[in-house]
Amino acid sequence: MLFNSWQFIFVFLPVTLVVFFCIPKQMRFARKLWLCATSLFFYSFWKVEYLPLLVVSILLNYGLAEWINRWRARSSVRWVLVGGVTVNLLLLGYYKYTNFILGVFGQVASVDMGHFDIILPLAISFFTFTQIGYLVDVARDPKLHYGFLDYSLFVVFFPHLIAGPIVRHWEIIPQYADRDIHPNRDDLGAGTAMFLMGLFKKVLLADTVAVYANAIYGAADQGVTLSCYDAWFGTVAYAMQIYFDFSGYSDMAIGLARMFGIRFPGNFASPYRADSIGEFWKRWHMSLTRFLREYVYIPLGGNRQGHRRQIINILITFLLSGLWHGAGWTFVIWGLLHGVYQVVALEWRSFTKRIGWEPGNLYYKGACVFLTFVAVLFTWVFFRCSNLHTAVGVLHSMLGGDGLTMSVATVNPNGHMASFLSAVGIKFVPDTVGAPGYTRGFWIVAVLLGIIWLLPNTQQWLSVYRPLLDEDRHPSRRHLPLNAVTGLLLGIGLFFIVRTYYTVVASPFLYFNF
Amino acid sequence: MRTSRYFLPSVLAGFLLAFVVYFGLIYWQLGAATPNTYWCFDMHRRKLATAESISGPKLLIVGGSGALFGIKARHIQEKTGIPTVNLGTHAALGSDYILRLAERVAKPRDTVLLVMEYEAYTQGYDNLSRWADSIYVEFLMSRDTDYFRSLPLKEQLQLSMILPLRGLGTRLSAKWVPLPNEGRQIFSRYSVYDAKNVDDLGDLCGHTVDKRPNGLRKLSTCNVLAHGISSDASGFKDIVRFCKWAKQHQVRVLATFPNVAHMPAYDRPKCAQVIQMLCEFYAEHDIPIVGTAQENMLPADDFFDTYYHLTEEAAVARTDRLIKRLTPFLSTNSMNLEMRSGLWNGGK
Repeated sequence: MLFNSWQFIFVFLPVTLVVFFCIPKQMRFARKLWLCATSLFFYSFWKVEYLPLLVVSILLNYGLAEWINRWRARSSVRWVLVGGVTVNLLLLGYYKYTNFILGVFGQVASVDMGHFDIILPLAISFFTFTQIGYLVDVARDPKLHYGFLDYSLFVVFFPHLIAGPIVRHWEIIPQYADRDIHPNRDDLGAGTAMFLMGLFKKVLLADTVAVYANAIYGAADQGVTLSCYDAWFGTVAYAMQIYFDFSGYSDMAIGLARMFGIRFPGNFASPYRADSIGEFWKRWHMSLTRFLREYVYIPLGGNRQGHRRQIINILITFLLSGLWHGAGWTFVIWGLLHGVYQVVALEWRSFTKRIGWEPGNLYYKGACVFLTFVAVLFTWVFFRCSNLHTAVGVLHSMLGGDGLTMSVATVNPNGHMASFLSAVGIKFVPDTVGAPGYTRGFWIVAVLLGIIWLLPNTQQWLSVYRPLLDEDRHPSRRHLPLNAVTGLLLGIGLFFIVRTYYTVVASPFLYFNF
Repeated sequence: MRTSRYFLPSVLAGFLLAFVVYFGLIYWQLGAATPNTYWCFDMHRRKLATAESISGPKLLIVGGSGALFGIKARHIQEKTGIPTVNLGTHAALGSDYILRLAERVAKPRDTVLLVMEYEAYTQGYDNLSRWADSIYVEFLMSRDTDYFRSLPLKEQLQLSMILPLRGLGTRLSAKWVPLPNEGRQIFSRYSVYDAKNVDDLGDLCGHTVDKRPNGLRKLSTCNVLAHGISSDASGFKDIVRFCKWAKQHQVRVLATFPNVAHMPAYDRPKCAQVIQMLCEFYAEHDIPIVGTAQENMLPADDFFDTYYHLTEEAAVARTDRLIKRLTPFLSTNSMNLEMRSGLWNGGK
């Protein structure tokens, strides 16, 4: 069941909310049980066969955590922890990496290692990471202990179960216990507004621009040589698609939790406004970045063991980030490229510090934002392409390997614009993609870039209603009042979202693949 | 800052308001004659009038634009002596609508030759919302409101949601002040969508090689032939319903395969399975098949703009081949034999 499907919006969510608030607040146990049951139903709606996997994973991890708590004094605790983490990773590895590993061995040994028909269980990367974090924290903190129902709800709570944010137990579980949760218009209002704004981002913006990204990258996957313009246009369109898709999803997840009186940490904060790669990762999939920093980078030694070791730690962390996103060389390179960018940025900072240069003016910052955006665009090529060969082909076109070319479908070859473009050295080539409405696509991408760079993001619009658990690091002066006019506009917008269900099939969120 | 107490009720109110206004506008513009639906409207009107005017047994060619572009009723009429009308129309209208066109004019002792596009078997009345597009919805709302109103309310609501917002203003104003000449489109140069290029026997004329738009573009592959089709696809039900109707009204039904541009994917087993399934389907319902699917898979050069649209030159050649195959079925002896065996009046 997708957050953007009518089954979710008009059946699952209202029923879950109404029953939740109909249970007397004194019966907290029943409320939690209800949320657990509906979350498991939500998960099994996709494929009921994988429900036992989720349940066994919860039982196993909770059992291990209890064992660690009870026998903390024994020396074997460390081995139980290592064993628990290993079992989690093996489970994840089996479903996610078996065929990739077989392929790598096959290539090295030049033999056909075969292929298993393994379907990746939805959300396995997310619930595995959430539980590994919990196990490690239990081993670190002797006072940490939760009831089974609290723990289960922490893992399966449907707003974050499928694609994050990757929440931490100490942020969420106390909210189940401490809050005197009752239906109140602040939680419901802010949650509804956040959810609807996320829904608009997904359905109206991400799915609209996806048409262009899919057409161009689909052609590239079929071996078509893209023109230089098509390669850039397709990549920017994909950057817009994944931005609005993922930020839309994050807004919807945060909004849903808030309807139940639970605040989630932020997961997305205008990453394309970042002026460095480090800053980009503090704004993009913030909960994953935080997880990797706390459970991989810092345990590896972080920056505490010298400069060279720090560089290695950065590269390992980003390599794992790439592998977490997908089992394939394209994801490995995507992760490593981000790691390399991070190292270059680190070196640049030390260099400017060494020579005593502290550039801080607006032009410099603008150039940094633009450069970071372009650098990220190159990484999206690897992220989007189905194989390395295609990715190299797209990059070749982007870098003008076949000259500065433009398809005849883009601009009327007999018009003034074409004459101007020819004069500045652009060659016109036959249309190889067949994407619908290039001019419309150009303006759509331009408007989306304007929204990204010039308008406040959802958290900023709603900052006065404190939508997030943590304080917004990038406050805005402008905000959206949740009054009758806003409600009316959001309601009208919702109708047009519903209307799209009849013209296009609801598309899954991109991060559901991870 | 607190959320206004009016916020949540107004979200609901906004949704309901948009719902009421939207459907109010849809209801208001029903029957507004629009230019881009004129082609089908005028073509149907003239084809049906011709068919209606024929008193004796006749042959009706029924299908989508594959039949319109690819079969010449005039040639068949001249060579067989049997009055023939080409009812081929826009395939986007779906199998139910296309077959009901034939029901309006078919009389006892008439013969219907079904030339349904492969997609038509998936575009049934049962799953309108899956395949119905803006062309279909706009046509029904603009030119055939009786058919639209005959649909169950659920389908009417679904189709209303598909109607494109672009052009809503034009449709509303056309309802207020009807367009001249019933919304007829004027074309400055040859267009297959110009109603004047369809003659009174329903044949499209003038779509010769030299008028091909922008030369021959790369033709796509028919998904049904390449990837297969389910035996319970909804279009089959419409054809079964039509066959029952035909038997009750003593109308004979024949079927043939549509002309389609040959693609490498059609040489794979999947395509053979589809063809086999269609043959078995028609055999099960005692509908003779004229010709084979393979002989109607033609080189891409023979096509005008899409993989079903033959050029006029290729259509003439295709019709000549069809006539050879069709003649045995149209002989008086054959018809009498079938009548005596009860195939035309409901006895299986």
